[in-house]
Amino acid sequence: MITKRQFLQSGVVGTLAASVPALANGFANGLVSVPGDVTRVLHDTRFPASLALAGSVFMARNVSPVTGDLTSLWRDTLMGSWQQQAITAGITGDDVLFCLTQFSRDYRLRVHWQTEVSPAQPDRNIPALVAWLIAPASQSTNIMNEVIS
Amino acid sequence: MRYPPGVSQEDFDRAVGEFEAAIGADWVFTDEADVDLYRDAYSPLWGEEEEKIPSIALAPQSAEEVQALMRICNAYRIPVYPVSTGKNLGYGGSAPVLNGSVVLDLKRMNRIIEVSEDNAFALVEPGVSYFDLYNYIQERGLDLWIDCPDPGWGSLIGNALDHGVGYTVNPYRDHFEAHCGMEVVLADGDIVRTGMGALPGAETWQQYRWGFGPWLDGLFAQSNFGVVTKMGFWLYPAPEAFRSGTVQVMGYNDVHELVRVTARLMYSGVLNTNAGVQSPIQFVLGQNPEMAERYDRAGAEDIRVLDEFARSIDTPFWASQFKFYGPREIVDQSWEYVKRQFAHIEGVRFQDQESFNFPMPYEELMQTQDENHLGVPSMSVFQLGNRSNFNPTGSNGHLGFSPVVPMTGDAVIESNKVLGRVLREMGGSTVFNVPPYSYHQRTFTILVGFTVTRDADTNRKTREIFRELVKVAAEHGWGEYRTHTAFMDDCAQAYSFNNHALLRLQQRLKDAIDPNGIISAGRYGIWPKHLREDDDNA
Repeated sequence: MITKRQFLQSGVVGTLAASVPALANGFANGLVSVPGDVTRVLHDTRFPASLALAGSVFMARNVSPVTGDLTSLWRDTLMGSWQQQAITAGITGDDVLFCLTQFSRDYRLRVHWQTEVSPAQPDRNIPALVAWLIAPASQSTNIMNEVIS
Repeated sequence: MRYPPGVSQEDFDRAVGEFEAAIGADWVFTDEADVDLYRDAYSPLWGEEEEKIPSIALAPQSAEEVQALMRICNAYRIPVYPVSTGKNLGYGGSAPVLNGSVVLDLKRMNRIIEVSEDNAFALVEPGVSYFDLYNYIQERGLDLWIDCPDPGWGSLIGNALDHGVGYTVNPYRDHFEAHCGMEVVLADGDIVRTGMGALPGAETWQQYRWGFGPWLDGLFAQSNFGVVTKMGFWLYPAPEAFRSGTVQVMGYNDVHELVRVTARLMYSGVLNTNAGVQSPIQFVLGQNPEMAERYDRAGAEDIRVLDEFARSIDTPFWASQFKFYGPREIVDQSWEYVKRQFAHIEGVRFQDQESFNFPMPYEELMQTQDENHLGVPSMSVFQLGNRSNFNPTGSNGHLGFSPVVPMTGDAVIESNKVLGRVLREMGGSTVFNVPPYSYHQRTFTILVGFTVTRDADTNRKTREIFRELVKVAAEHGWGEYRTHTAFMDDCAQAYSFNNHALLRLQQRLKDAIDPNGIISAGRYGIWPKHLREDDDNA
């Protein structure tokens, strides 16, 4: 089972890094670790820094862009991989994470960890940027993939 | 493991064993981390003692398994709360009305049993989402449209049973109206089919809805009389074309003629889809205290000044958007006809909007003003902000107060003033306020949206305002068409003609059909006998 420590030492990053570059440095300097079995990483095209981070840290994995509207990503990519209960990480707006949280329940997945990277900017209509990990709800109930497959 | 109310631990433990034998231990979720997935993400009770949280969840895969589970629940008198896909956010999600109920999660029952292209219908199970049916139709190249609500992740059956709506044409846009035939498991495990489905081997179950004798389908919507395990839906043969246009009128009192003509066009069938009344000038009035005060007072002199003000800034007082679906010649001529019907209003303006021929590539559909209006399910309602396009930051969902009002200009003005006054007096700040819109035929629905937060004090205040709105609206003859589970009692109580005769009848039916009161206790205000505080109504 993936723990939040395996993905990101949130205590370290959460207190030291309020910005995406700092978060990226955290990854780069080994302050945090990314679990090897994360099979897909989402970055949010509305946040250029999100792409930079995904590119520098997750380059070895499948990186998928998402806009505020995740309909296409869901249809074309995510639905299939979640049927296989793929572990997914991301750095996206919290509006995207909310939808993914709801979708993930259908596959007995859940958000195991999340942290805010940058706060929302209400006056500019910009949601908060969050880093997160979605993985099977528990090993013992890692079974809902049969539902759709 | 959590335990449901009114059931001994010993009995419940025994029942869990029987659940596991009936559907397999893998599909009986007792771990709190798993069961917490069924919390209502939009709950206005989040983190409070009253928040509704299930005890365990069960995920059967067939109607036969549902029957087996209901027999066990009935034997042990275990409260059970069926959900289809659990995506009814803003209306309670997958959390029960009665705390500690067992959630019956039907999303594994996701078979699209039949789609007929020639007779334009589908027969589906509760776990089938709008995305699922859309994809099924597209993959097979069927010449059919679905009608979907804003987010496409919900269940056709769940949405229809909650009187959900969409955006294409009658009768498809009112999802309960578009259904034809049900299969329902009752509390004792018996299974019934409604309409022509009661005839073994019926060939018209999804074509003729009335069957023979009393029509019972309405009993299973917004209620707790059974578990719907199959449902038929009429589908819309794909239209050739679409176009939209806007009618704008300049004066305060023009709303009366705008709505009168709109209603006539709807009742005559020229318009067969939703339309609403927006007020482009409202935003400007909000920035101008003097004009806002005049709008609220609306005496003859105030209206004269307001009209002058609107003209001076060249902003219409009211506007309505109209949509047309069908053959190209007909949609074009319909729009021309509609324009002629409004031409007598002084200063009226017409604005052409979108115009499409079908079929269109998916990518192009997703670039239109609103793909949902073209029968394409999506998640784009969440695009512009956190949780909804009206609520970009900082909250944890929303819920809507949505009374039904007459389709008249008087009602447009009166509801705006009355509800606005409550909000001002109680210090309520709404996250969105959708102008009167004909979600259903022959009426407008107002939609006042509130944010839901993780702060209990803020949520308590919201609940207080919401309940006051229910009460004040009812005093004016306006009732909710649908509501969040937290307010179902309040709304049901407002329908109080003849000492709550309707609710008393519903309770009598509940006691007869589900004598142990195990299904969805409290849903839409209907409580079983053993949970009714004041049993005078029994």
